[in-house]
Amino acid sequence: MRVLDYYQPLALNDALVCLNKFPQTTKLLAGGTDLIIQMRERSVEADYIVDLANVLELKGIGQDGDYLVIGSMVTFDEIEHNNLINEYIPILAKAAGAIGSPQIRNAATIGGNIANAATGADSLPALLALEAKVRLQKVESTREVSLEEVLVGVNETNIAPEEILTSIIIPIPQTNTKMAFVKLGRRKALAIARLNLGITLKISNEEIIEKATLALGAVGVTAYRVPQVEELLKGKSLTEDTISEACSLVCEVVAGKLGTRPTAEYKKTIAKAALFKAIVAIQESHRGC
Amino acid sequence: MKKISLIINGSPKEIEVAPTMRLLDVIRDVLGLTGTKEGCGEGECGACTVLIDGKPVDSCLVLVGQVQGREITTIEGLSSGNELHPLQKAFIEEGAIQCGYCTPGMILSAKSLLDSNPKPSEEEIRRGISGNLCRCTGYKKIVKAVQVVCSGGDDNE
Repeated sequence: MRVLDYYQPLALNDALVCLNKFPQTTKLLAGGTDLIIQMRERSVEADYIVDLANVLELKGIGQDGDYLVIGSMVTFDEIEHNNLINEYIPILAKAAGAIGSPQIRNAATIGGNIANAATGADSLPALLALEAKVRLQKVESTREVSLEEVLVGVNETNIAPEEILTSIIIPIPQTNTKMAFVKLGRRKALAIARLNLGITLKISNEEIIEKATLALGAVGVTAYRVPQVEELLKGKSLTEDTISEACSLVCEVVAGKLGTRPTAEYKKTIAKAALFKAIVAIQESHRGC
Repeated sequence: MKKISLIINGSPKEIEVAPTMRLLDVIRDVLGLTGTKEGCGEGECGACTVLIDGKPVDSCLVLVGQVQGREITTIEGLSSGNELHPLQKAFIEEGAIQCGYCTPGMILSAKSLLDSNPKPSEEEIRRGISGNLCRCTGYKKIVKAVQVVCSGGDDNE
């Protein structure tokens, strides 16, 4: 791997300035578990690397009022074991634990997972279902946009070349919100997801679903929300009929997304099964409390 | 070329290398510690596992620049003199080693697991070594070897 220079800024501002010199030919290095492979196989080339390993501002997990704020350089191992995340948004801990292997989780970061935007990235359906936003900073300005807006294609985001994804901001779900994450892969470890799914349901004391969020990954060019199913679930209670309607609808949505791709038949079937599995898990945890 | 300081198996080292060299290549070719193996070169097999500040990482997916100042443990750092580490002994005694290529990484993953969780369940052991592929023995004997160490060498437990 040949580059002209390798920078290791110690502060975010220095990193932004470094990146701003040659934004088009600079790559930001987070955990490296995707980028190092891509650069070695030359599917990604760069003249400069800005290594974010020592930028402390990007490394914390904290609560800010009604939001959890996760630094972009936080690793999946840290996310999996963090108390705040396990208490408020356990599906993110579960998604983190489903990634790669212990070795990968010790290096790979949440910001890297978003910026690399792999079709099957495991954190994305969980983050979408949690309605996460990302903070994007450049030298002169900062913007916050919903994660949905950032994901535009396979390994493609609309993060500008001179921007750094600095944190992920997640609203703490309202009380009575239940959630589930499901990953279907060929093996338990080191498996690229065939499908992953994140869902949250806010269920009232009268057992009515007041709000639903559902997101799918690995069944389209990016992970995405499924508003059709969210609408269908809203205002209903989790009866067998509702569940079966929701599962049929998700199957249709996935079939529509994948069109004539050879995997469509398989993926629409597993989408239905994954949603069913997720809702059953939510019902079980709901009864348990 | 940059000067990079690392702590390798407890001793501080300063080396002058390109910061974009993979940690794996630095360990094998610059430091001459060939116990760390390269398998797939893309983080799928775990043969190149080393511990960075006590945690297992695939050294093929780390640039040496990223670990400036940090503590690296390779398989050579486990024995003291001629005395093998209990995990190394258990792998030999339980037949958890055949061709041996996965063994250094497997043992380092197991060491990190036992350092943070001295009495893991079988499931926890299997998860702990899930990033290390073995194509010879299967995992039964490897899990057994780890269990022998955490039960204090009592084979019958």
